Parts: sequence; structure tokens; C-alpha cells
Amino acid sequence: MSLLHDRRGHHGAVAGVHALIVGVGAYPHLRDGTSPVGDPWDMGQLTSTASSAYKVYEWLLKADSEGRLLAPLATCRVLLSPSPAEARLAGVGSAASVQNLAKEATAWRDDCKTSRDNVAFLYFAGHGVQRTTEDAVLCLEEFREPGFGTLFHSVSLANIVGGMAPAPGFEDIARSQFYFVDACRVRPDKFSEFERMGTTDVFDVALAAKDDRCSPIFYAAISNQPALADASSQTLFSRAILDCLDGEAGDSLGEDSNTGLAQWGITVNSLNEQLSSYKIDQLNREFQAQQTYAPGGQFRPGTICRLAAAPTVHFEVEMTPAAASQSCRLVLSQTNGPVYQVSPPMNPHPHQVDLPAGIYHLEITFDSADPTYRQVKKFCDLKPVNFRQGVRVA
Amino acid sequence: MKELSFKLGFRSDEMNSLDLPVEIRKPNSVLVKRARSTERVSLAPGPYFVTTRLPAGQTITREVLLGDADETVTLQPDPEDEWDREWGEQRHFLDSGRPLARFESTEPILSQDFESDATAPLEIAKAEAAELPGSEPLTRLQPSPGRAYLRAFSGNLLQGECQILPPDNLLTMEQKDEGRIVYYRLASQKPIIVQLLEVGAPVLNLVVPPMARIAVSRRPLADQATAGVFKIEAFSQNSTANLLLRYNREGAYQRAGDAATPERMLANKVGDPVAAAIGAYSLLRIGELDRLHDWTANLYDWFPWLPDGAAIRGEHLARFGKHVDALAAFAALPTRGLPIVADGVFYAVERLRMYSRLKSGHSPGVDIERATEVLEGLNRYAALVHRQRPLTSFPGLNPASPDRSPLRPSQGVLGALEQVWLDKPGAIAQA
Repeated sequence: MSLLHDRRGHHGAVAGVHALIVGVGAYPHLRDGTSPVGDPWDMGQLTSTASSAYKVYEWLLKADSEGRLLAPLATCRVLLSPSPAEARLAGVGSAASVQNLAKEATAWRDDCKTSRDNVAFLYFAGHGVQRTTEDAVLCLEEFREPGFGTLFHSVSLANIVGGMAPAPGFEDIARSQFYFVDACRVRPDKFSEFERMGTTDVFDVALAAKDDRCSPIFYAAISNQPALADASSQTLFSRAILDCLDGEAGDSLGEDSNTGLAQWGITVNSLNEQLSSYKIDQLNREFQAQQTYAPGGQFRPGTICRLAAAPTVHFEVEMTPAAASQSCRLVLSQTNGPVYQVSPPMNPHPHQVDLPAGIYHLEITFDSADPTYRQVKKFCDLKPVNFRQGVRVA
Repeated sequence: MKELSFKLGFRSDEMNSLDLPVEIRKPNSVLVKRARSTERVSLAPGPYFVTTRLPAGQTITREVLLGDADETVTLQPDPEDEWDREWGEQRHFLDSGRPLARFESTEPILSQDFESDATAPLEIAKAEAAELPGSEPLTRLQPSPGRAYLRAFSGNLLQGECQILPPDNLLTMEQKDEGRIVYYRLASQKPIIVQLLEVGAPVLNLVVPPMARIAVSRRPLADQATAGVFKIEAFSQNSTANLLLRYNREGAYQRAGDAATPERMLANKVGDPVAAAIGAYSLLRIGELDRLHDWTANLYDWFPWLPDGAAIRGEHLARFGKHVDALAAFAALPTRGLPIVADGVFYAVERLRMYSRLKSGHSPGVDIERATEVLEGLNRYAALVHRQRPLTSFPGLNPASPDRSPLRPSQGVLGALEQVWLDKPGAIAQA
């Protein structure tokens, strides 16, 4: 039973979010599997991919219950093949086989095609193979099973994305489609033959009509290594994604027409920018890892989810020269007055404080009329997650 | 309504000529309007904040109170962010310095075992000379560890053409900060391939626009294990094109799209077609198809030497469902060459792969065989093109035969220009 969440009957004709989540940790025909092939291309079992997929599923349920999704979560199909290290997930959803994926993806597309306002959400975690640097071949549980074509138990992401395009018979398919691919990447010696090795088609791809989708692909790739995971047995990329969706990629969405207050949320572009310029680097520093990230697809402006309030920004002020920190006064204000103050001396220095995102007026003054240092008054547009402000006063 | 206009307050003309994307927000952070710094914006009177964020991460935020009169707000970097001289200012504000792995691999970039393998490279060197006709007058040198070398090539790689260009006439040194960075001006009216060689690291080829500026620099020590000791960057003649490329590298697609005005870059056929192409890619990325109008046809028709015109036209048509015409545009790539911008390679490969795999009942008018043929030529490069580097780049000592082999010290190379100014790390690079 892969349809772990089904609220189609509850929402009537209202558009909904339709999610397909796949996590593959157990590969019986790869290294350390139950019946490994002679040359498994140095690919083995993955210990955190099914867990990560399940965390994404839990995040969707939570975000839905908090009213943060743009449309109610209508369906959630989950395919998991957990590794022995993820035994708690045994029996959750259906096995992540290529047959199950083809069947569930077709049902997922059927749900998505009922309204342009639907939202399609796909997350895959597992092994991947690349024929080109833009390509993603997703490896399912029985990958490399003897007696089948080399890539029979795998699917091409391009086939899925292509099959989800507006095309005859799919004119009203969801125009918001978010793809997250959390896959290890291998380049076996047989790489040059891959172009001729066909994957299993999930969809018969018809040529699309006008493609006006917001269909970004958030693609993680690490080279030929088990998926990097943190202490909570979660892939670094899934952690990056979920941290960002919980606020670290937050941006102002606009104004609530009733309250006049700013609304905050995560857009496809704010998520991409945060992953590209900060979040992946931050996790690599924290875990001494070399996770990479690459965006693909079409980044038409679109919102992925809302936030209940302005996201928190870790604000750090560093004075130059550092000696100025001993006699400076810091005041951070918004339109309704000061929100944070530090009297001299500024200890510790650099000074750190967590604040809600927004526009602040920063004022640095000195009690004594010390001509050595200049006063600083400036505005700072604080955006998540870190905002480091160097202040040169001499 | 009152009008708000903007003025840039940088040191250099190349920065002040930019058309920066600006966000106008209310005091509660709500976005009122996105605009460009050359625009005049009509707004209701009231308090606003204007913010522009540069690709390297510096943010300029200014308050403006619109009352009874029009206002002009000056967007000048804060003292903390200023660059202390005119040259190099563009790089300071456009290049984040965030290291990209030279190639997408977690293996250390510098191979430590090259000393023990001195025989194999000679064969490669011979093959290189044999494959590069016209290279005899050039001198051959043995690369030394810890030094950087540049070479330049012309030719349509998709046709297997590749010729070493004499570096002395092609690369003119413009500025240098010894031990840290050297700038060259490229004297070429056509796109060429510039190659960075460094012993122990895969050879990097970069497709660069005509008349580009090339910067070769030493990386900070902390980045050298994964990214190599030396770094090469290319800057287009057009400042806005540089801005768009750097925004895209940082994932700031919306900002790049906001700043892109490709139709203006191509006005009256006299503009900069490469800059226009870079603007078009920015709009394709964010799906702003309507802003592309039909001028991608002009880019394709007017500049038959520009590979990107074919890739952009093909992708634009494909997004509108005009697949037969799209394939015709993509099929011009083998005669034009490898696109300058990596997006062009990927758009072409993805579309051609889809066309080549169509089943007969689903391919009205699409020439599947032709798609397959064009795809095969591109696939040799597509497998190795770096996704995060905006300009097309790939490894290989011979650009016509891409591969990841590291350069070995005994491997003679023809026509290479040693970067003597970078032999010893400068104070900044050591920090």
C-alpha cells in the first residue's frame, strides 16, 4: 500500500498537492546486498535514503497540518526499500521497485492532471547514474538484477519530467511541479555505453504543447560514495532541503490583504539561491563533506510553502578595528523603535543575535567624542539564515 | 504618484554602467516592485527601502521617503564593501570567490602520484601534436608543478576541428597583482577556447566570448585541495552579461531575469549578440517566454557564427511546442560549434535526447535520426561539462578529445603561456 495519505474525497474539486516519495536504501544486487552481482560498479547499500524519504513525507504531513502548503495535501504515495539499518521503516509504503514506481507514477500523474492549480511534488533518494552531467537515472531496488537490461531497473528523470508536461490529454496538468533528486552519482567504466542502454520508461512521452510549468529540479549529486548523512541518519541534501523549507530560505511573499502584515514563505527561487550560495556549503563545512547541488528545469516564479512568521536570521556584527568594540554602542531599530541594543563594551565580539528577518536600522555610536572612530548609520535588509555585518569605523 | 529613479555610485565605469536589479520594499519588508536601476518607477508617496544585492553577496539598502517630489536614490556601496581602486572592482562585486570544484568529483583535484608515471604522458603529447595541424611553429615546454599555463584554441569542436592559437598575439596582459591575479585582454572577434594547465590537475577548457577579459588567479590555500591552485575566469565585454552570468552561478535566477534586457542588447543588429544570448538564457531559466518575443529568431538568423543562437532558438521553440522547428535550430549546432554558455549545451542535449527516443506514433514530423546524429556529437562534451560554471567548460588536454586525465610534468605542451606573475603566492593569496 503506497498511498499513505489520501484526502481526495475531503477536498472535493479544490486543487491539491500530490506527492510521490521514493527512498531506496536496499539494493540486493549491489555490494553487500543479498545476491550481489560480480561487478557492482562499486555501488553498495545506502543507510539513510529511505529514512530521508520518510522525513520528507513527515514534513509534508506537518506542513499540511500547519496550513503552510499552497494547497491541501491531497495524496502522498510512498515507495520505500529500507536498508537493514532502517529496519523501523520495513513495511512502510510499497517496495521501491521499478514496477511499483511505474504504477504509482501513473496514478500520481492522473491525480495531477485534474487541475492546473494542482501541485506535483516528487522526492527521490537512492543511487543514481549519469549519462551526462544534466542527466539523472534513478536506480530502483532491483537495480543490476541479472537477466535484465543493465538499466532496466532504473528510470530517467527526464522521462518523468517530460511525461508530466502539458500535452494532448494532459492540458490541465499541474503547472507547479517540484522535483527533488537526492541521489548518489556513479560513473562506471561502462559510462560510454550508457547512451545506448535504455532505462525503463515510466511514461510514453508525447511532445509537449506550450510548456508554462514552474518545474524546477533540485538535484544533489555526490560522486560514487554512500549518501552522506548526519547523525540523525538523514542525507545532507534532505536536511538542507527541509531546513530551507522550514525557514532558512524564507522570503517576503507579499502583504496579507486583511491584516496588512508581511507574509513569508519559500519560493522556488529563494530555495535555489539559498542552496546555491549558502546552505550546501554550510553543511559541507559542518560535516567535512563534499555534497554538491545543481539546479535544473524551469524556475518560473512560484511558491513552495508559506511560513507562519518571519524566519529567524542569525545576525553577526564585527567591528573593524576590533578595539572599537570596547567603546561602541549598538542599536538595531525598526519603524516602531529599537528592538535590540548593546551598551559598551560589546562582549563577546563579534556580537551575535537572532532576529526576525526584516529591514533594520543599524546605528553604531561612541560614548566619548573619540575622533578615532566614525559613527555608522545604515539600513540592513536581514534575510535568512546568516547575515554578517562588518562595520569599519576607522 | 511620484517617480523614483536610481543612480549608481561605484568607482568604475564598468560597474556604473550596469543595469542592476533593485527591489523596492515597504518598511515591513513587503515587496512593492522589482525594477532595474536604469528605470524610473512610479510609486505612491510613502516610505520605501531600495535594495540591490550584488552577485558576490554585498547588499546596498537605502531608505527613501517619497513626498511631493520625485526622488533619486544613490546606490553606493557601504564603506565596508568598497573596493579601493577602479580596476578589479567588477570582480570584487561580481565574483563571490566561492570555490567550485574544478570538475564534479570528490576526488582531490591534485594528483600526488604523477612523479612515478613519467612514460605514459609522452604518447598523449604525440597524439596531441598529430591532431593539431598547424602547430609546428609553436614552442613546446615541459610544465612545472606549482605553475599555471594558458593556451588558446580555435575551431569547431563538434566537427573535430581544433587549432592552437599563438598566445603572444592573442593575449595582452592588462593588469596584474603579482602572486595573486593577472588580467588579459583577448584579441579575438570570435569565441575561442582558453585552456588552463596545472600539473597534477585535469586540464580545464573554457569557451570564452569574443574580446573577453581573462583573469588567472591563485586560489586561497583552503580551496586548493578541491579546486586546484589556480583559477580562471572570463569576463565578457558587456558588464551586464557578466552580471547575469554571476547571478546565475549563485542561483539568483530571479535577479538575473530581472536584469536581463536581451532585446536591447541586440538593438539594430549592432548590439552584442553574446550578451543578448546570455540575457536570453536568463529569461529561459525563469520561463519568461513572452519577454523573449520573437527576437530569438533574429539572434539565430543574424549571427550564424554564434552557436548559442541555435540553442536558444531551439529551446524557445520547444517551449512553445514547435518541435520540428526546434530540432531544425538545434541541428545547426554541428556547423556552429559548442555553445559559449553551458545552458545551451544542456538545453540541446535534453531536447535532442527526448526527440531521439520518441516512438513513431508520438513524433509528428520530428526527424528522429537527425536528432540522434546531432545528439551523438554533443554527448562527448555533455558528459563532462560543469553544471555550476556558467560558461561552457570541460576537461582535456586536447579540447577535441575531452577527458579527465591530470596534466603530468613530463607531458610536453605546445603553445603554452606560462603565468610567471603567479609563480609565488602573494600576500593575499597566502592569507
